[in-house]
Amino acid sequence: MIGFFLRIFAIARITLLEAMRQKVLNILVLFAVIAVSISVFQAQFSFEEQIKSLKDYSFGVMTVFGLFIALISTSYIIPSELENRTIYTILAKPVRRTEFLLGKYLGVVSLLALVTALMSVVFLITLFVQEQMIIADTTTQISKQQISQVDKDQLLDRAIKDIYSRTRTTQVYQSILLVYARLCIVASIAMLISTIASSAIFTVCTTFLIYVIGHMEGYAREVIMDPTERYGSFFKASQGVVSTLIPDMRQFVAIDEMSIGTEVSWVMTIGMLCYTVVYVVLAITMAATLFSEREL
Amino acid sequence: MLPPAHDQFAENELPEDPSSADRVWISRWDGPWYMRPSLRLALILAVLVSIKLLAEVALEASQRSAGFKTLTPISISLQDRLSQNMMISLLAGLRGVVADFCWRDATDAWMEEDWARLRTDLNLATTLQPNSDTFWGMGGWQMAYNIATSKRNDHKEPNKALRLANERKWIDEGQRMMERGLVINPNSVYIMVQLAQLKMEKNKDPIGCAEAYEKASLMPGAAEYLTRLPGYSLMHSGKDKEALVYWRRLWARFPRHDEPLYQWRRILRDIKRLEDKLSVPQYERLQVDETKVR
Repeated sequence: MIGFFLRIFAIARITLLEAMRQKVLNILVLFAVIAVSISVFQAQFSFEEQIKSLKDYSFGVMTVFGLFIALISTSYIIPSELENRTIYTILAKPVRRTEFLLGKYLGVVSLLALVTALMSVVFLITLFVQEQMIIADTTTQISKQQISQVDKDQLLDRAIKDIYSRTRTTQVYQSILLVYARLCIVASIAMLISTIASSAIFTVCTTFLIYVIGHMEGYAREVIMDPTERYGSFFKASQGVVSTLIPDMRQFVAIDEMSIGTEVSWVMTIGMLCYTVVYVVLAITMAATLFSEREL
Repeated sequence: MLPPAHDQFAENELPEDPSSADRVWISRWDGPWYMRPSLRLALILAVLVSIKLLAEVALEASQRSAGFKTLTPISISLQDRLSQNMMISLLAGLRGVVADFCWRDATDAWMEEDWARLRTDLNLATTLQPNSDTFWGMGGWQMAYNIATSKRNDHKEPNKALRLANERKWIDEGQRMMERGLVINPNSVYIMVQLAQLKMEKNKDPIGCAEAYEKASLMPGAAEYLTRLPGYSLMHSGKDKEALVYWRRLWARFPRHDEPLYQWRRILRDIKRLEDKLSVPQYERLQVDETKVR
């Protein structure tokens, strides 16, 4: 059993190191970091709008760049191993195909964790800078008002509490976790498709399409559960396939909700992380089964 | 040393005796039914997909109960729902960014007095993030105030009656936008206050305004001063009788009258003034121990 984990760990480590040496990924990470950091220079609105806009923009950048990195790093793993013929050397050793696949996936997931952590640090610094700028601006505005000092102090105290409730909240960390979970799902889909596809471009395109369709999965489920005869049986069956195999990406709407200020409990966040684990297990198990039968 | 990890059943060995080839299977796809990968795949699918679907239904239910309005379709018509879903899907993960962009563009359109663009931007922003009450409240305000005033002062239209009709059209449009926002965000104090102001300033309807302020004051998280606004709106519009009815109702709603944020002394003073003004008989007047009022 220890050998199983050691083999997976060794493959994951090499995959991570290889990915970190790729120039394309490094450039993507650099652009992502720059994109998150410039979000502080946004148009001046009310402070609620500024913070919402910063969160929306930063999580959007984290999602888009993370998506690119997850797609590129996962889709090219198996085709490049086959092209370089390194897969034959690895599989000739006492390594199961399942272990090879698991190791590769864990390597990608570690890379995504590193990238997300880096972007999150930049985002948190940007958020802190924006918060301090808003506080300074609010203090100046309140000090100019023609009211007593006691009222000024009360107003300022209330305003600062309001600003902190939007910036210094665990919802920020919950959102980061959910962005990461979303990327893990995308990587698992790419891994599943790359076990049956022969071209990396096909894997990238198909995975991206599945990701997009995943945002409509909830709608497909509504169609299936509709008791009326409004939808035909063929339409319902096609929606059934969508609903069965494609992950429900609409669940991650929680990230948008948190940036608006809706309270999202940790229980719900953990529930969504568990859902991510279930889907990743489903995708990777299927990938392992298909890969073990593939003629190399 | 690591133990060998080869799957003995995966070996694609050819039989030594070719004549016995029909009895030896060389791939699991040709082997006994219980070894077939298709069965394994079916089992995996059956178990994990069931868990996946159950988790999805449970998560969606919990998100709805947590008040996730983004999951609520903004229109019940199938075509609108499809286009809303399609748009949201295509923007996968970037919905907030695009909604903010539309909002920013709406502000630019307002500065440039490009009203058609402003309306499109507001509709897009509210479709993408229907739970952001700023979009509904401020969007309705833009229509009912900025666009309406611009239409009233439109020098290109010589007919005054038409200019006023256009102004009214945009005021109604703004009101409708706020009311739609309230259907989707029924507990939004912000939209309700905006609607109350619109009713007073644009519709000259103090009773409607007071009703909206009262509804806002009853919403969760409403500021204490909102409880006084219906009374003031009615008093300042000369609706003394209605104002007195409201003040009395407010007074009866609270068992104690010592919370300074509500300014009960000020309310009591207004009640007494109105009772005098309306010549309310002594036995019908509010009987209060003023030492307990703060």
